[in-house]
Amino acid sequence: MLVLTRKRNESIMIGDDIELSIVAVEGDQVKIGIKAPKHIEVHRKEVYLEIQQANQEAAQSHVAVSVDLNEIMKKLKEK
Amino acid sequence: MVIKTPYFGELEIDRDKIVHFEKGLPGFKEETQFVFLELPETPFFIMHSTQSELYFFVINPYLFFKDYDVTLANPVVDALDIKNQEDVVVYNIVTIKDDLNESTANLQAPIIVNAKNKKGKQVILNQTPYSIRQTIFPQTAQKASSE
Repeated sequence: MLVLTRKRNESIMIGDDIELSIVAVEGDQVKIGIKAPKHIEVHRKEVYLEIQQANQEAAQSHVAVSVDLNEIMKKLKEK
Repeated sequence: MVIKTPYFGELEIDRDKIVHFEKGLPGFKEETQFVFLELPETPFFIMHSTQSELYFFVINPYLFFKDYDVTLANPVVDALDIKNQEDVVVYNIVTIKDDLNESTANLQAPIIVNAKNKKGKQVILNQTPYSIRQTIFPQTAQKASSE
């Protein structure tokens, strides 16, 4: 991983169109501004990982529960 | 094409019903094609891969959460080539629990489908009040207080 040192109000270019700037540094928190073309999605990594995990849980949930699908269907119809 | 499904058995799928997820789903990058099968007499659908036996229960969120509000950011509108709001269909993946009443839906990362061109994407909403694990059935007072 490339590691660069930056000060407040300095920034980093990634390619021609992505700019990361250090907006503020407060204790162990860093505020980062991101300028990117509108087709680029930006997420906090932990949120992406949580969604990944939630999807895996969901995919296994109907396998993990002890009732079979027909049981689930029967219950759902009662809802 | 024919896919093997848990509830409907072997099912003939029209190719034009297949929704294409260009980049798969978080956690399932290789799964790029799904069909949405209505589960009769329930508010649920099965979102079934046409490439494997993977499937999810999904809901139409508006049947459960009337005020659910999704704002799509530019990258999503572009990626799915959305021209009209009316073409957009929203689903949420459900995690089924042993006690069905405790089943949850992922409201923070809805499945967005452009019904016109059959392009889909699981969209992660930023700065949203919605939970990844929102219970979908009304909880009894006792259960709610223990959470």
